[in-house]
Amino acid sequence: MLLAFLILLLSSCAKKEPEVDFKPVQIHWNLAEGEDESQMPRKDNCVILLTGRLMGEAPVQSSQAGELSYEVTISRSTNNPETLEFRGICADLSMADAPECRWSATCDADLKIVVKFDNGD
Amino acid sequence: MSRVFEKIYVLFRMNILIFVLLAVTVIALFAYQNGLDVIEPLYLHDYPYLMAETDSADGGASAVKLSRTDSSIIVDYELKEGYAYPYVGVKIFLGDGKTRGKDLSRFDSIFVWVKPRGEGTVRLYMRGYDSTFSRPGDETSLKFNEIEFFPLEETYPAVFVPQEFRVAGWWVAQNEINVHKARVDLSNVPLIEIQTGTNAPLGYGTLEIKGLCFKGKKIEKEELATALVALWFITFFVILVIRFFDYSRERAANKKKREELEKNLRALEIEKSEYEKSSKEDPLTGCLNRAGFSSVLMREQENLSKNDSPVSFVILDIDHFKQVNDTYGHIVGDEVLVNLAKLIQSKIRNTDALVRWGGEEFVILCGDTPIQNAQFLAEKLRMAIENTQLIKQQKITCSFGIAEMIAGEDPKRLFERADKALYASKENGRNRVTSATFRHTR
Repeated sequence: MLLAFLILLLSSCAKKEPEVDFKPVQIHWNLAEGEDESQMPRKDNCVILLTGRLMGEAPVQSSQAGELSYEVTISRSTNNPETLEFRGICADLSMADAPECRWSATCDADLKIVVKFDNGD
Repeated sequence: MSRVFEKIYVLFRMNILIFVLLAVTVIALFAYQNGLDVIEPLYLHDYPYLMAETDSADGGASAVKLSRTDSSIIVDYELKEGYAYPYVGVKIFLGDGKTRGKDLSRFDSIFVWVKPRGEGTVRLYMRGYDSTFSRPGDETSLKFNEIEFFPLEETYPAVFVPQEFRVAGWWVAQNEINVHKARVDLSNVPLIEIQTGTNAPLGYGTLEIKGLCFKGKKIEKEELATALVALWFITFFVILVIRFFDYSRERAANKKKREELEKNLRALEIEKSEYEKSSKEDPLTGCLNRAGFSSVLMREQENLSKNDSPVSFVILDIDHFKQVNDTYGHIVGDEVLVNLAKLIQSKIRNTDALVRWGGEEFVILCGDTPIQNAQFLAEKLRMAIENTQLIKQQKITCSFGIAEMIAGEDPKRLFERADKALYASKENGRNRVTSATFRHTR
């Protein structure tokens, strides 16, 4: 009993490597038809921030797919041209109904990112 | 052989000098003690400048007769009443006999051969001339350096040292001599008088005087001491000068040696740093190799664990590189690698490390970079590679895999994730970027 306790104590105190679950994600960024990249001065920052945000979203993290590949379209908001709109869909159309496979996001002038998964409840 | 002597000389020359100096000192002292004597005899049997004297000058009636033999002079006398202190004697003139006499001060012993034929003492006067109180032509003004003694019956001489003389008190009083001048002075003696002494009985008597002898040293003790001190001083000065030059020479030699050593050290350090650099560099592309990568990885791991600074790992692989090699040859393949490395180097930060992982695989370790930034960088690189003519034969593309390091994680796991992401890029058609997103399961 004591031996078992000691083993348990030692094993709990031992330095352990963090266990990590990972998923390969591809994001292909495409400008919407008629859009001009030079009119989007904050595009790169928005892309970086959105990438980070997307990777941390629960639907992506808990995706059942072995890997994810998104085709993302970038356009300027019709209401406010300074705000960029992103629409992402999975490249694998067989997964089109999965919650993580259809999303839209905005990135405003203050680089505030809002992501919405369209297949969600 | 002469070289051996030269070396011995260089080694011991100081000691030789000191040894020579000591030897000279000892020899000089020994010679002074046992030699270097100056002996000046004054034999009276043939000395022309002498005359008998009596107390008649002082009102006395004593009589004297002087005769010479082969070896001495005979003074026959008769002391009579008349003068309160009757006397007879002999005057021996030295020098001009008046003002310029003989310097007897350098003698340390005075020998007098006087053989009496009667009773009583004998007086010896060394009469000194001193221009401050002596009057030329007036014998009475010559200083009375005197000594009175009982002469021996034997043939041995009586011996005196200058310190045994004294200046006659009556003469000092009579001439009102300053006390500082009333001391024995034998530096200029024009007259020596040998007279019957104070207690000589009245009546007939005889003195047989053979002569006097002055004994001294060729150099005086003070002169010897001064010479030796000067010799020691000069020798040590010479030693000091030699030492100074030796020290200067030694210092110059040491400086030269040190400069050579420093030069060698610098060369070695350069060689070492070049060796270290080359051991960590890929010779073809100039990127880091795996050995070089380890040190960078350790630094970034430490940065992550200490500062929580994110580190991302970008692995890229040239698409269809084998085909390039097989089609155009290895030289073209190498050209691709070199140009690709140059292109990537021009696009990444100085703080990022580009590593040739092996074959056509490269790794970029991006410090202080979260995965989304690394993905953005990879996408930029992918497009730059796609749009650059790395070789003229065909377009080259690359597939990318990206992973972010997690604190405490084994680097192998990081590579595994990046490799899987790269594999996904390859599987999905190449020329694309795949990130390995992650979440902690525990």
